[in-house]
Amino acid sequence: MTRQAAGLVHLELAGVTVADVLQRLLASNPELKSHLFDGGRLRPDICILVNGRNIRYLDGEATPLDDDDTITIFRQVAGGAP
Amino acid sequence: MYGWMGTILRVNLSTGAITKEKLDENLARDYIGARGLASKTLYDELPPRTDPFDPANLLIFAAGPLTGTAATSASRYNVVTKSPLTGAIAASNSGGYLPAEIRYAGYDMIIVEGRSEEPVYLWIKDDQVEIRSAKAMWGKGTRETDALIRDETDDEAKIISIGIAGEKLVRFAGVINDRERAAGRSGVGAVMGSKNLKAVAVRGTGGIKIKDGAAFREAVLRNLAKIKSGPVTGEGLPTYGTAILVNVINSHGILPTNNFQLGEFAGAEAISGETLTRDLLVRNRGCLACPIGCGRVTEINWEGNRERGEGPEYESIWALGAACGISDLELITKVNFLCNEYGMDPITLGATVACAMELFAEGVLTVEETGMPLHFGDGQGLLELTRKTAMREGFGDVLAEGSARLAEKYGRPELSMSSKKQEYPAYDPRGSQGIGLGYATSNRGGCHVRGYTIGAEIVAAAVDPLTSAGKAKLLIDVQDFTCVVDSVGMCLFTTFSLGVDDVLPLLNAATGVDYTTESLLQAGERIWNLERLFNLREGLGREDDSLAPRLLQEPLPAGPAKGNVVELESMLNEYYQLRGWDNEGRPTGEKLQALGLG
Amino acid sequence: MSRTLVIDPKLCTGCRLCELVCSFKKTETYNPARARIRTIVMEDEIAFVPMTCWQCEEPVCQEVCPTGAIGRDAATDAVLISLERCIGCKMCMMVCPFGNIQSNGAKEPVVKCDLCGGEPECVLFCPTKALQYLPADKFTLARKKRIAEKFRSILEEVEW
Repeated sequence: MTRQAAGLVHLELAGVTVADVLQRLLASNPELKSHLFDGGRLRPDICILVNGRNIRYLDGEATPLDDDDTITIFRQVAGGAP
Repeated sequence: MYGWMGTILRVNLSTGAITKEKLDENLARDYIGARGLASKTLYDELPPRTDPFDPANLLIFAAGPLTGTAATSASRYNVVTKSPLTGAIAASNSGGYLPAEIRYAGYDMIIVEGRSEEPVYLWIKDDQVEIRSAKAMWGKGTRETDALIRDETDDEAKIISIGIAGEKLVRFAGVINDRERAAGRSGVGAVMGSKNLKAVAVRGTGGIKIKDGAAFREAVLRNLAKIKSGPVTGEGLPTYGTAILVNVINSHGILPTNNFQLGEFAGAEAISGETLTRDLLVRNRGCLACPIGCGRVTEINWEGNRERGEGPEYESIWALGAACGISDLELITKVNFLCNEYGMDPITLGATVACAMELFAEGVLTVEETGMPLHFGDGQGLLELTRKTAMREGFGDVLAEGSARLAEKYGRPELSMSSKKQEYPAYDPRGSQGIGLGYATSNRGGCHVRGYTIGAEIVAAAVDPLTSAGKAKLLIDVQDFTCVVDSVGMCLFTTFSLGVDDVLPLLNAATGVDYTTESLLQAGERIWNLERLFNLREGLGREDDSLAPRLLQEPLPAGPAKGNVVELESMLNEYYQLRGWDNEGRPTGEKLQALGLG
Repeated sequence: MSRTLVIDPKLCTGCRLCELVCSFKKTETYNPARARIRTIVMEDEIAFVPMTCWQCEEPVCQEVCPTGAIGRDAATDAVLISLERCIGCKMCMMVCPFGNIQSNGAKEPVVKCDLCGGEPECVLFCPTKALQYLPADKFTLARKKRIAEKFRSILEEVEW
């Protein structure tokens, strides 16, 4: 649960776009819905990386995926060090 | 005065003279306090080109006008001097309880000049100030020094001390306060050692006066709510500490590994904040008035003994871990404890060992020089070299000079991952362009806390980390605001949730000065430019606003930022232009006039 | 139902914000040396325990006070010192078994926590809820529930 709350869910799923994968992820883990979405929209504090690139700078949830792509999801809770 | 205590303590260790000076109200307004006010003092008083270890160098401990109040995380002070590592200005920041105690004793700033013949410490009990012998503490670690001095003075005293590294003039020795808090970077502890000043002990029983108490209290409550509800300050940092970044930065492919040869570390999970929380965390610790409490009280089982201490923080985990290819978190924690005990910067230590490891892999260094094989991933080697470096023993004597001098000595200067001879922290700028410009232009050399663009580029993902467009402007804004935060005495971490308009009402209510958003940010800009003027006067220039050749020429070999280098030249030109500096990086007369520096 | 100031050292991070806001409320300056609450920092264990007056049911400070300056507030149940009657003999300070009455010199011969008249400033600012001001039954019930949770996991772990 802590890892989920920290947003480090790694799953290997075959899908066409990020949106498809998210749908499949929620189907098998419905408890994640409130962590990721706010009224049907992706929460602004959720970061989704495809192979380390934030989808915000790709095609958003429509970002297409290939077989070996890694999706990383985490909340923007990380801070630096003094 | 309100906010400010109004008094500066000056101690000359050569003559034994102890004087108290009135704080100039105009200077206080223009340079705020802490980093700003101390930098102004250093600029005005230090003769140009003074050797950092010359008795004429100043060592300034400076708190801000909010330090010691209830303002969120206003626990900080700055230790300012000319750095023996970089030759540039050093302004090292730390929290804990000690900085506020300086203010309760009645001072905004302590200026130490000269050099004592014998080891001494300073004992400040409110307005009583004495120079006392520190012979009994010389050669001791920072924890023992803390205990010995409290025995001799007051159990309630708060202590700044150096460990063995500072005594031995290790060029990246830090000063430790409150046993576990470090003003770690740029070798400020070595300057303290060069003055034969082992410690400063402070007990203050006075109070800080606030001009408009009701407005101040309201502003504190408002900021407290913002900090508690902000995702980073209310959840991420309290739960995992700064080490939560290990996995995040590694996911972005910019966790520098094996002396920046790679951007992804296979052992990241083992040294992550999640692992630290699960295996080593005892409890969280906060500095004075801090609702975040990012400090980690940790415990390890070391050679059959349970050892308890604080840290490691993200940067230390990286430097002692990924940078050297080491994934043993318990060993990293032990080395971090040792760094606190010896009073030594773990970032530069780890980065210097990493540089030595690459030199060894290249065959430039051999067992003959190092006294041991030194491969990436060798935790025991790091442990052994930590002790030797602090003691300047054997090969440790070479490491104690830092990576730039090490790499230079062996004819491979390009293998030092540093700017202005100070080692980079834990973000590969090839995958986060803004921080690359930040490393290059930082007034104290390779550093992330002069302009933490990682907040916008990675944490909040507000801008694309891979593009260089717009990064000069972003960095300038962050640099100037950071000058403000460092100078009022608040912690940089509050800026994950607070902006300049949250700091403004605190400062105005505390001091009674009518700063505006613009005038406050301009004070930040003034401080930045003043630090720049100091460095220019010391002979640094455009050629020093550079990066290690690897970051400019060798594309990252794999991961999300694969194929990228730092596009420094174009960003730097834009940066100079936006700063109002000429092509050589010198502030124009017009700019100086506008900032009141002309 | 009267309320009680309760502490949970496990939640305390040692930030001492309680000391700061207490001193500010009582002295209009930020001055922990004059706060009526103190966070004790145990250096070796790196542990923190906030300490302040527990408003005892049978206050020994009240018993020894030669001028009858110490009494209980009807509204909050706080044990209060009347500075008008106090002659500054410090007997109360000497007998408090917890060391929670202190002397701050001539202006404040003896001071202690007065629960800020029922709205303790330290509780309002405490960022981790290590300090709370709760009805006594609510506090004990909360603790019962927490311990019960531990019991449950232990008991259910054992297979018969």
